[in-house]
Amino acid sequence: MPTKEHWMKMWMIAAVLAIVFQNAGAQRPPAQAKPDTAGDTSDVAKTLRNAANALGMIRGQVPQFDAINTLEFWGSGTTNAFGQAYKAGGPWPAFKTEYHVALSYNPPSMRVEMTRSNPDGLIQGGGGLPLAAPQHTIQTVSMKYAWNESELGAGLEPGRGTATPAMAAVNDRLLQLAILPYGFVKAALAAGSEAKVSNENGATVITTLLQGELAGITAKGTLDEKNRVAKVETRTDDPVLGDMVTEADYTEYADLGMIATDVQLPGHIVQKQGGFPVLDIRVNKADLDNPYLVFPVPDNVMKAVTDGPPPVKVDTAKVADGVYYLTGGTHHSVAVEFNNYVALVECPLNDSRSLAVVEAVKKAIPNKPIKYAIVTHNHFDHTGGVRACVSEGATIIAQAGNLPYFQEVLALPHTIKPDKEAQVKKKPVLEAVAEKRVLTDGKQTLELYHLAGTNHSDTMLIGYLPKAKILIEADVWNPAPPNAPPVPASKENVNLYEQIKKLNLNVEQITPIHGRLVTIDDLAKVVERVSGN
Amino acid sequence: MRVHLSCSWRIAVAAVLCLIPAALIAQMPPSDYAKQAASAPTPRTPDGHPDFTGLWNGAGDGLVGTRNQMTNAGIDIQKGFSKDIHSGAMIATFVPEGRGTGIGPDRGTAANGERDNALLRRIGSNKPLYKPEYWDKVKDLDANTNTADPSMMMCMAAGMPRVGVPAQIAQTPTQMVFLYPGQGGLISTQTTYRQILTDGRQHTAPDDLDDTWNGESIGHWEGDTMVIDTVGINSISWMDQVGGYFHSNKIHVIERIERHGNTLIWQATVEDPEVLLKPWVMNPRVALLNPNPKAVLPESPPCSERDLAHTVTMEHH
Repeated sequence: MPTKEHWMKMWMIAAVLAIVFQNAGAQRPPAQAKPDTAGDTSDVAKTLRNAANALGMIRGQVPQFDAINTLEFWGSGTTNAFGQAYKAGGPWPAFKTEYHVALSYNPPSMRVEMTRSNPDGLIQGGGGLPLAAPQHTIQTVSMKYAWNESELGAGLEPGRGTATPAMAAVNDRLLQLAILPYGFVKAALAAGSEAKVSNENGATVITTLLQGELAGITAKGTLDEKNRVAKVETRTDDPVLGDMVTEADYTEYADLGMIATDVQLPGHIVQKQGGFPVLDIRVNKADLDNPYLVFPVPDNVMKAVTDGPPPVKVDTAKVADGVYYLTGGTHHSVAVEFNNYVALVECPLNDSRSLAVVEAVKKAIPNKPIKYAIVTHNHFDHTGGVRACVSEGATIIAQAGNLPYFQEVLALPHTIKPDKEAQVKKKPVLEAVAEKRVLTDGKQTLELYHLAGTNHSDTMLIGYLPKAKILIEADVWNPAPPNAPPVPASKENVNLYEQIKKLNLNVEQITPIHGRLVTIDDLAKVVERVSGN
Repeated sequence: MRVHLSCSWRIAVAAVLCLIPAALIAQMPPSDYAKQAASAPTPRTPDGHPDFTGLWNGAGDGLVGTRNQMTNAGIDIQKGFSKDIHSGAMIATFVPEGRGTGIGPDRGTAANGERDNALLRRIGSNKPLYKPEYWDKVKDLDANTNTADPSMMMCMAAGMPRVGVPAQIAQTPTQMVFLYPGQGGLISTQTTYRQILTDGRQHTAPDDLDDTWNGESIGHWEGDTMVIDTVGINSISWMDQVGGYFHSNKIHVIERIERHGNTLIWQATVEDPEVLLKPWVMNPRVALLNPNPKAVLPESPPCSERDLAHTVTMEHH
């Protein structure tokens, strides 16, 4: 039988062996043991190592590893409805937001769960404001898949909620993951010698290319005095802002983990797009211990990617003599035929949608140019195709308050993803509507009014076709499908109804930019239901 | 590095087990020593099957520190960036600048040392996909492993498939015997053994089968691969060393074991439709044969856990 002394000897042997093994690894020539990047003694390698180390990413003994894969944090603050300013050129409206992020870098995945509620005080702008009730969303991305979950894990089991594919959001969501401090350092480490280090105003700056689905995007990170990532800037394409800058500021670093891990997490995250905040969150809790976070892709989301994006569809319906309602997507347009030209109300979303609308107009009303493109209001989902309409030679008509901002943004460069206007370079021509403007050829008339009383946008136009008795409006009433349960009308619905009466418009039908063809009686019913009359 | 001082008996056993192969491999990257072992001839039994007989602990579970812990995490350490075996993702790998304490990000405390390992052992991407209703439970179990883990710190058996690669295999035409000396001495679990029945019998009818830690294992050959089907596992044990990976007693484990030269490759697939969205194919683990023909498996002393009161962290590291 082994004695106690025998076992003590064994223990000593084990201890000696352990030391031998450790030293064996430690004494390896650096060139053999170090990776291309980490073994590089250049300024780039040192800078990246310092940054990774300052964030608490490097762990282990011989060798050491980037040990960060999954993490989770919670915070509160504000998020903003990008491109939904009340005034053209003004800040994006803010929601109070409870914010919860779960993420993984292997595979690249992120789940952002938000509960948004109305801000205090006067609520102005778009993006769904004001909310009838707090809005809970779960936005998820994993590798090349993006989807929205009605509840955690939706779509993974029968009866467990709905997973709605959101493929257009893949890159935006992956970018959120990539520009977090860890994502940025990982990208720079992966880039190796391709990453560049410079000094700007006394601060160390790392410039690197992102990879995977984000290949081609350059990210520039600035380190603070403790080598932590203080700021990351990228440029991506936006239909309105062109080569849009996204900048994320990270301050108040601390180990915020429920389990202390010495992983440094910024306690304050501020992100701006187009110069205005889109996110301002104070982190109050985190799990930085590589927790169990998984992002299985629901079958229907995978299928959506396999099937590919649906083609842009424009359905053309003649709703009156010389009036065409162009639907088939989320944002509709209305084409009005005049004697020698066409006036198109709304060039929405982006180049692909608006150019498809233009083609549909040409088909419905051949041999007449689109002389005017009327923009209902300044929100980006309604102006993303303005450049497409400019490229077709249309004169842009918008409420006067929009013009300075439109002139500014129409001149912005679109080099990352050149649109048609970037290629044909038509000079934008803009005309203003102060309170009212009438387009007429004697037979067809389109009246444009500056809509008063709305908090959605202070530069909102509505259109009225007196001959057809049709009203064109955007966002102030989005009629639900016929069989949808009745919802309370908003102040915007009521205001629209009152303004129609105030302007003495003899409306019979409404062609909304969102929703479906309805009658004035439909609007009246909504308004009466709310007012209880 | 946190050494289980109170588990010195187990470490001593581990040292004997790994003495020769560990000394051989210490100066080599894992891929190199695995290649060398794999290039040896594969012995066969008289009935023509690969002979698994021997001590298989050379690069087993966690006997030589971080390298093997990372192997358990599914990370193939390479000269350049290391590689996540499951996803293929590259993981930046560094040589420390100076020896420092070897703990924490170039500095550290005992707590940070524990947490270094906790982070490292969880960086692999290959995780069982639980049904969403269990996601929080897994996180909670993992975060409180030191008290929640039914095996570690409790001196209970590791259970299947957590026992992983056996330390010793004895093979006959009608059965194999797998020996596990207290999970290799790394953690406080019981020494245990399994009988792998290869005589052609079927599983015991479910109603007649009592749930046990290791279940009932029936093996058969598919070419040169031993395929072991195990059911009747109790719902107490967890599926792996870290992660809080609990399971139900509907768990069904299929192991596939191959011998290539002096290398044993073990991989398990776990089915548990009660709690998992889909079967979990665990990362393959590689064990090397102890080349000393006279080596024996020493007695594994009884489990006597005295670490728990001294741990700084709650999660297993």
